[in-house]
Amino acid sequence: MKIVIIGVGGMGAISLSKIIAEASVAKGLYVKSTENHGMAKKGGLVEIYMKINEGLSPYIQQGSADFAIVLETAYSDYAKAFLKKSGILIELSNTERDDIVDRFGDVKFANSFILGRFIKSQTLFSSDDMENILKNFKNADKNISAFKMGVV
Amino acid sequence: MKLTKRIISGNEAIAIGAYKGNATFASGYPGTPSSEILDFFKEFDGVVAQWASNEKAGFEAALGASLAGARSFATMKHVGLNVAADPLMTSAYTGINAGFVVVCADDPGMHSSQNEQDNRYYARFAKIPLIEPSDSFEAIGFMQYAFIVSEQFDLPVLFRSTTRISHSLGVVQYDPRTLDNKKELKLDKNFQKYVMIPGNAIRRHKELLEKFENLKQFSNETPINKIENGSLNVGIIANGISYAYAKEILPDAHFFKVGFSYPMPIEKIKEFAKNLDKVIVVEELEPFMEEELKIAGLNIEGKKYFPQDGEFSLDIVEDGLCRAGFIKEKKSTVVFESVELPKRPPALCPGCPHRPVFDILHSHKNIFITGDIGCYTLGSLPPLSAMHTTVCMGASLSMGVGSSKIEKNEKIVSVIGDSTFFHTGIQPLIDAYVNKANMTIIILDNRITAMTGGQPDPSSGFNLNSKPFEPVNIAKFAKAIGIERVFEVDQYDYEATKEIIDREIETEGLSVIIALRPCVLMPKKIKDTPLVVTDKCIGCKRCLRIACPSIDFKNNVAIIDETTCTGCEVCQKVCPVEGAIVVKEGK
Repeated sequence: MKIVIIGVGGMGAISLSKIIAEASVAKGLYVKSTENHGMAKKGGLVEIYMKINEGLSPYIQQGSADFAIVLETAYSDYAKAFLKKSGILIELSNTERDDIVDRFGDVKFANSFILGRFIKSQTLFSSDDMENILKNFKNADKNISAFKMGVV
Repeated sequence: MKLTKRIISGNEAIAIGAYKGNATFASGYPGTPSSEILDFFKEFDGVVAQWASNEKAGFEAALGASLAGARSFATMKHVGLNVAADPLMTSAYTGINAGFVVVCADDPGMHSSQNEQDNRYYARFAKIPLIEPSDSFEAIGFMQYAFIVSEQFDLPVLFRSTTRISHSLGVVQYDPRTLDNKKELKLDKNFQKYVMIPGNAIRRHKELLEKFENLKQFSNETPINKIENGSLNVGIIANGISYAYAKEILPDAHFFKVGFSYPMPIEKIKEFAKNLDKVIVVEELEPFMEEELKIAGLNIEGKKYFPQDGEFSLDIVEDGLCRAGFIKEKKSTVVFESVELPKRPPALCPGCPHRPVFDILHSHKNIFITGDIGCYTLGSLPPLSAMHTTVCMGASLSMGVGSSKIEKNEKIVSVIGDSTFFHTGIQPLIDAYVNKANMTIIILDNRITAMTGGQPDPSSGFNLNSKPFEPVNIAKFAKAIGIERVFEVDQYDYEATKEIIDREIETEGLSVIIALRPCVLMPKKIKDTPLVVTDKCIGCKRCLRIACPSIDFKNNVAIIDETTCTGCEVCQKVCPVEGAIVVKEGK
């Protein structure tokens, strides 16, 4: 499975990739991941590639990803370029984002929601796989609730 | 034996490999992409890990630890080895006592560097072994092996990573215990080996040349130079991440995977190439391996098909394999070029204490600003546009010294951060004093090495192991040199900062201004009450000129993003309208 995650610095793209990576390791899957560091911290684009159970390098070519997860909608078109024909774009509408801020008090829980949406769209991971990782997080309850909202 | 299974970065893998290889001492200077190695290494029991002021000092500390009997290593980014090149060249003569490894991380593509030099040439230059992993798993094993090679040949070993190896994550499984090969070595007092006066050095050079002959043979025999047979009658010689890309695209080719890349395994490659229709080299940056093969009389091409600059990707390697005729056509196409992306120019963080200094410098017309390496290099970008040079660590001051002797119309202003000042700014500060330079030096003392992720420096007051010390006081230091005009200022006090900078630029002679406000992110995140724009805003855009990411402009007025605003009030200080920007009430 090839996953591309696109966001901007400070939005939690790296944390999101780490959750998926941890879940992969817990399941005994082979995973490689790479990100663009450096200037990202100063508000630039963060681009993360993840390959699970395939490939030797972590690099993902455009037109080949199974999933593109977009945390900043301004980059949706760019993210789509990574998808293969049957690939799936995972993103959040502004209404959904506002709803999460209202409900949980912080935009950072949007990533758990988006993780849920990703889980719903594939068969490699189950909801339990992700909940097992999320339960060790700070604000585990809120993160798991937001995640479950995404799965539904 | 219970194996540990984890997903880790190449940098963590290097630290684990060093620990497993019984290294107990490490030093270095932070630099992307190498910075995290020491942070990981310091967590192990029974090890000493410490930052040095620069790479040369870190290298020499590790060499000293080796002579004292501890397996040791030094870490640095590629350009850091330029600073440590002096001890590198001569430690190849002296050799080592306990295993000694020089870890350098190159940055092809310049994600966070001023150049993309290929440090493999340092191995050739110094005549020392070169080891290169291609992923996290190999990094653990190769690092342990590097110490063994170092002791076997009595030489420093160059261990080269790249951004893509250091910062990629991979799943590894390893025995967390250290290797069972720890030697009890004592401090090695050996005049002929370690005192490089000509009489001794002449002998040691001859010995180095003898060792080098043995290394050539060793390279043919080491298991980390390995042949992987395929079904197609073509061969690919590759190292590091290039191997992973090429193997992923064309798994059926014969592969010669190079892990020990200097000296090159010439005889083994001759055997490999003998019965193949065509063999090529796939290597990022310079034609290092290709040149070695051509010198040995092998007609093997590489750079004929692959670029000599920039970072490789699957796309670039696929292109090259296509040009070489190894694959018929490309499967993928790049459909979206990055130029179409919404622009997010890099900028100083909200609340960054460097901002007021560059805003003030921007208002001066007749000054020449020599800059340096750090977050504050962003002060060179519009709209701040207040920096005219950035070459390498410490060059702001030394270039300023030279410029000030020639340029008579424009005052020279040199801007340098605290960590960079301690790295290589001290010596040119002394030169400025001794040579009576007419220049204004601004030291942005934010008490941390911010650009690389917040490593402590002599100004921080705590070290890598969080042990406190009385911070090195830059003002006292400058005065101790003999400089008279030394001033300290808090940049959030915009008016006071402007007054001092303006006055010193107008004053003939050498002055040092130390801007004392700490980094807003590290070691502690600082967030005060945010500011808001009132209906008095006249839409003059003066506040946009300070390039704060928290300030935007909509419907002809400025707006401040309260979630990111740190409350530094610099926008308020530059705003020409009283009451247009105010601290948010009710907090």
